[in-house]
Amino acid sequence: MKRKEGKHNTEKIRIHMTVNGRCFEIRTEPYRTLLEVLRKDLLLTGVKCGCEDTNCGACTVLLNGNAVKSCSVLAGQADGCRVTTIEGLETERGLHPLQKAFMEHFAVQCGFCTPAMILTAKSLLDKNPHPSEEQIREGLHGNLCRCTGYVKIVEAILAAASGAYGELSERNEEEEQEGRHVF
Amino acid sequence: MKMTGKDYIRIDAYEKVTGRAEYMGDLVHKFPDLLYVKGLRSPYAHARILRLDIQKASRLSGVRAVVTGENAGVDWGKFPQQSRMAVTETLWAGQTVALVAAESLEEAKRAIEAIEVEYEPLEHVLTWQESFCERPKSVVDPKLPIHQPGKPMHFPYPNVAGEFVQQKGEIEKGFLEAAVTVEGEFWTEKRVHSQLERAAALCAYEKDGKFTMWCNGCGIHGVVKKALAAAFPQIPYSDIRVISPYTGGSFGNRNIPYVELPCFLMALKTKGTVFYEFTREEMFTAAPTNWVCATKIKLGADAEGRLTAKELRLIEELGAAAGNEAYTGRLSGSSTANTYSVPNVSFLGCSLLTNTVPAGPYRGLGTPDAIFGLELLMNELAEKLHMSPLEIRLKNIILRGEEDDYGEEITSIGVAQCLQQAAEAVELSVPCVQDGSEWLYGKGIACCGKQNGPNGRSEADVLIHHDGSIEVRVSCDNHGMGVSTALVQIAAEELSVEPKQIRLVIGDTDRTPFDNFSASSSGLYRTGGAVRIACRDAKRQLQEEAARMFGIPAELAEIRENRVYLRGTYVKSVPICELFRPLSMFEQDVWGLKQGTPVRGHGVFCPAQAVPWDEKGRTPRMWNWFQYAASAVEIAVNQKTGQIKILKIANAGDTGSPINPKIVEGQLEGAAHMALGFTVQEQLLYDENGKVKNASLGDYRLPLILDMPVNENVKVCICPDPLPDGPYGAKGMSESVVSAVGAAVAGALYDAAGIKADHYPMTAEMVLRLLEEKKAVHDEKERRQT
Repeated sequence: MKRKEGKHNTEKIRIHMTVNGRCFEIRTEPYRTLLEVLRKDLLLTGVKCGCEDTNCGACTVLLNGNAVKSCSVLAGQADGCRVTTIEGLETERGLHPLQKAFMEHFAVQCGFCTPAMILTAKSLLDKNPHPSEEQIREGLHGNLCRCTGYVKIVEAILAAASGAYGELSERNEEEEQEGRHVF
Repeated sequence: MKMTGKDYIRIDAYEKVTGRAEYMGDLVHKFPDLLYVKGLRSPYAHARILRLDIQKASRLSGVRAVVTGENAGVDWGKFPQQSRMAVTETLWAGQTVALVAAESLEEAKRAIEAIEVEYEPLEHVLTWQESFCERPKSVVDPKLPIHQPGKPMHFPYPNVAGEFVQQKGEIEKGFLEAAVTVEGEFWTEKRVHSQLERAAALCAYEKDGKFTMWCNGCGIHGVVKKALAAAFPQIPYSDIRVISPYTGGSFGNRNIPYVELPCFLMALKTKGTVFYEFTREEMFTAAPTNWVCATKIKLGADAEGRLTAKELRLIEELGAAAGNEAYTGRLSGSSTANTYSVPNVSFLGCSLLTNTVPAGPYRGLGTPDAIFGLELLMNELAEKLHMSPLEIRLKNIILRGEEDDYGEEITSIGVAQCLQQAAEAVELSVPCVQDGSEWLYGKGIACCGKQNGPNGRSEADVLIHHDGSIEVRVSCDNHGMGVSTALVQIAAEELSVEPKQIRLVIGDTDRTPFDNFSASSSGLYRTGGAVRIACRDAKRQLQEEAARMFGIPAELAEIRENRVYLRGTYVKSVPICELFRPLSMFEQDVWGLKQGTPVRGHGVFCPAQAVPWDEKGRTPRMWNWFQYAASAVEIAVNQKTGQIKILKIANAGDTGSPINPKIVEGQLEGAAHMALGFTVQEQLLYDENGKVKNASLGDYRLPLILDMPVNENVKVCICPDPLPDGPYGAKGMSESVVSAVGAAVAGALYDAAGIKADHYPMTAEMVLRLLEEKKAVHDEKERRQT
């Protein structure tokens, strides 16, 4: 980001973040959002930007396991936190069950909302591994999708919760613990 | 091997669920010396520019170019209307007054703020109601050719831009034969597509003086490249390369290259690499909206409920589409001409200008707007004749092989099945039980057809490599509908191989062959047709080569499952890869297949041209084929708050034979959701200067997940009537499926509360007003009786 002059405080701050399991030390202006840092500095472009004012949810990432809209979080607020973006979900063991479920249930169309949708669903399932359909709908109400009508997204999340695409529980405990001592 | 009609997992699903799929904004970091473009936009719907001073802005740090309508040095007439810059007058709030390219977005924004403009606000017209009259407050385009003397007009109003007339049979006779008649006036409002990815383009001025443009616009060959070449005639056609990355939705919005042309202009001015991305606010104020339709309709039917006459007047309100003569009300009107068989028809349509952003295609091309009133009047006819809404529709449906109002034969129509299945899914014949609460319950149904139009040519290349891998190259649009997967399935079926063997290369004018665009749901039909022909071309070449090698006629060689099966020779079959001979330094004869050189099949698919209409507006060839749909809903209406809650929705589509049924289901579900949004809650609102005042996703009420019924109450039905010339009977389907929802909801509103909506969105305010009006009439009646 170039900012040669202006009203903002341009003195950089230093932030430590663990992003997708890797530690980063980032020097950035204090007014920049987590969204900007993830996309522009760390090139994690799976984090999308649809509106910049928290209304579309396409920029959702996990901050210590909680789904947040990264356009409304300042990078400094993520100091010392663990951030998960969509890029962190696939491991050498393969895709996350939610990713598999989204593929197999045709829950993806244009794909622009998909990373955020999967991460929001992950945070939901990590806290409530067997949600009802209503709970899923409530959990996704901040994420816009213009293509699917949400039917297959809900189907995919229910299928992932049923364990049809692999165990979710192993990942849960670890994240819930971390989530607890920061928030 | 059967590869079509199967739920093959989308070929783009893996990239999309892992975040690997690259969209426009994801390319930016690849260009370290990028310049950012920003537009200064008019705050007035109509104003004269008295003074425009760019001096201060041009001198700011990081600023590389400031362009105005006057100094741009281009013919604005060659630009899409939405991207034409104001020169002396602004025609809508949001029109570009100046463009800046700077080294950072912040510097570009600062330069925009430093431009000094003095406006003299002028009178404006924002709605069809204000504009459709003899003396509107503002005449949007005084130069319209239609105003020239000697041109007789049915509507001699200064903002009417074009007209279309159609006559079939004798309308007076039709009404004389009618036992019942109904009539009414209806209209719709402005909405925005709101695809999640904002419009963006990136143009690189390359070292060799050529231009490469990445963009999320439609039709990389037939729309974007063609428009660039027309607007910048000094640039040789071959010096322009257009590439389409993944795109986050379009719904018709990106059929117009309104961001691509200004982006190219700034690359040309700066001789640099520039990026122009609309903000979400600009997607509301400067990107095309739908066009509004206002209709005045009269229908006549005999005692059995057969339609005898249809008189339709239609206004297509296009915003400030100055100089646009192609629109005449005919496009929207076409959707009222293809579903019911009516012997006597009189249609008069026109297009109308206002001081709002120039409109563009919105999923359905006016169908949801034009058929709204027609469908509601079908309900009224049914009521007068003591028939059900389903019965009257089924009685009047055009049958396959019959003609539409144009006189064109309809080759595929599955609307009757759509109606029946949608009705069944919501148990339409079972009346809702009222529970005495503040909620009233009702059901409604409607149907529609949407034309396709034979415009456009598609090509495909199919390469069969010596290792057995297959490459399909196409340039159709790929906004997320799923056409890419369907094309792979078509190629797999033609070549009888597994889809995973096929790699699709899509969207690069230097590498993938010509395709106009995929507008009007034509991607699968046209590009799919080209892929089939290209596969057959490649197969024929392989057959000929194999036959030559084994000394048999080509027809005795058959290609399937990666082998050539031979008859009339000592070898029964050979793997295809063995037909390719290895190359060495010492063996380089010129004939036969060689490793490293694939067999290339080429396919062109282009439906026969439309035939100009006669003096009655009729022609045997105009729309090619039609997609049909029916929607049925069960709703609850709150008498106290006016809220409409959708309890159940059934969306049925005649999609032709589906290539991938799950993808088709996804379109039907998504369409239901989108249509519920724009028929119940979405609407652009304007301030006193004519500027959109709800220009954000927070203020403009898009439907959310909570506005959709739970999964078990969303039913989708695929009701195919195979299209004879569609690939494996398939046809396009994604527009009709949004079009009947509005009329179905309005029908349910009448069933529930006895109130008649004459326009949508059917907001809570509108419902409350109608309930109050109904109560007032009721009270008045009671008062008179006592």
